[in-house]
Amino acid sequence: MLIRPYGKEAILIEFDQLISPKIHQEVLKLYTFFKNQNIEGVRSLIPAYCSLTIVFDSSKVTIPQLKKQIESGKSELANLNRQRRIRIPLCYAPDFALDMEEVMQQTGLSASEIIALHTAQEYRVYMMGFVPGFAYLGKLDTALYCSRKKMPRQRVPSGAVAIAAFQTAVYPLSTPGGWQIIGNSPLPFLKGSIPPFSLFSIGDKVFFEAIDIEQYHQIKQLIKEDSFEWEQLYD
Amino acid sequence: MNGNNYMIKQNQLFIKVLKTGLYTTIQDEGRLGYQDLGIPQGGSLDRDSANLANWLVHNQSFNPVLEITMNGPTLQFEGSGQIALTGADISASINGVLVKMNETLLVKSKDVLKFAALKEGCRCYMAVGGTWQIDSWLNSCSAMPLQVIELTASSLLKKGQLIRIQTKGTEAVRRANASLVKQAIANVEVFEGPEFDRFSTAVKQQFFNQLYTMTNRFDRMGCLLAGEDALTVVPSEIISSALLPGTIQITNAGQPIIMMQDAPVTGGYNRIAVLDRSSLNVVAQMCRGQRIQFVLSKVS
Repeated sequence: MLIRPYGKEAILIEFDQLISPKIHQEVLKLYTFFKNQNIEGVRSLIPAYCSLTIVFDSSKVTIPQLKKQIESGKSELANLNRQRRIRIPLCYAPDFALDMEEVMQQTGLSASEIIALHTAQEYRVYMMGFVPGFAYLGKLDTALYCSRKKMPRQRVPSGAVAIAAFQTAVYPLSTPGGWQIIGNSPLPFLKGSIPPFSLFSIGDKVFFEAIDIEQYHQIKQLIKEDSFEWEQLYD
Repeated sequence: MNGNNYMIKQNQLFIKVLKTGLYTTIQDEGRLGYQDLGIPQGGSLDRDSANLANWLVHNQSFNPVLEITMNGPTLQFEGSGQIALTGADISASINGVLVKMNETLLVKSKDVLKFAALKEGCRCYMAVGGTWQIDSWLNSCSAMPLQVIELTASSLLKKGQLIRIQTKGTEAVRRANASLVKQAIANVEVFEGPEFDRFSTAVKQQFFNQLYTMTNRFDRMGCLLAGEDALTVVPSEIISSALLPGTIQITNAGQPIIMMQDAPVTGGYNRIAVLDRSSLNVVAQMCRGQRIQFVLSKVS
């Protein structure tokens, strides 16, 4: 673990620079420790794949004090909140799977093989970023690896589920984007003003469940009527 | 007193947006603390000017301001109140009479505030004395970057929009001697970035020895700079890690990008340096063609 200043009022903690559940678990532990400690002067935490950045107010806390906290955070065992497992309904119908053809070409798989592989495994939220509520989920089955689109789309529809290299993600908002779109989820991933604001948070376990277009519209309707039972998404 | 479609109560000031200008947003101190959800920090780009504007109207610094970019809006007031303009000088006038920057100004019903030529700087800040009645999200009313504007719909000014402010009566006029950095070449103080040592000595020397120019890509997310020569970097990326307002990334084409307040919270290019907060205020007031000399400082 390497700790260094990142400007005057932030420090960067770097773990082994690898994308792996084991390293990420270390990030998550330290992040959770700082989140729960509520240390005066700590203003923001930015956890990523294998790093944690702490933004602080230098008039309230110093780097040596933060280093001491990091030491005690490291030695505290299993202080991690139980990680949630979230089931995401996802419709792979051709209307939504805008790039299925391209993914089929790049991977040499059929659409049903792609869907089977994409729903077969559990993913981990490695990082939140790009736009609010956007979760980087990994790692994708290597058979599904494909490159980003040559030209990014100006507007990816919100709820689009996409893949690129070793990652998959849901676009919580309509934004520009260059990943390959293979479906759409009826869920709102960013809940306006209702905590916790984002359906995902770092460390969550996520898996996708294929639904048909009828179920897709049913869920949309329930959400619109505010009668969707959110608890059913969590194990 | 009856306005068009609205009643004006005592201690209320309405601002009607007749023209929006190039890019006028409502900003405050932003959303520091929500970056773990992937939410950019946001907030006024030139914080010194925003704070000064609020001070001139006796507001605390967490109050919203209008951030006016290069080409100003046209605003009509209903009711009376106090405003102040700081930062970029965009030839502001009320009812056709030029007004002073950095001074408390009185406005009354039917007054029209207009802007004309940009004389210096890039972003002008307008504070209004009192409490803004404006929607906020995650403790801030700062407009979210383009793509997610629906969360803070009223913070990106639209034609015809009405902004309501609960005023607090007339306070003493305040003045300040504030001036933007006027050198032909702005000295911008930076600290070593996380990947500083990944760059060769020759590249680092080049970075600090040559002048950089603001390109036409400068917005609330970032400023792309052009040097006399591109840095001769070996294309490489890092595993995505935190970006802060002020982080300088070097693209694989060897061009620096200074990340601003609305930048994504993580990125994958090598981070050569980080601006000091006060330097970020300087960059926020620069437009295309202006020149920068980076100067290395040490974190004490």
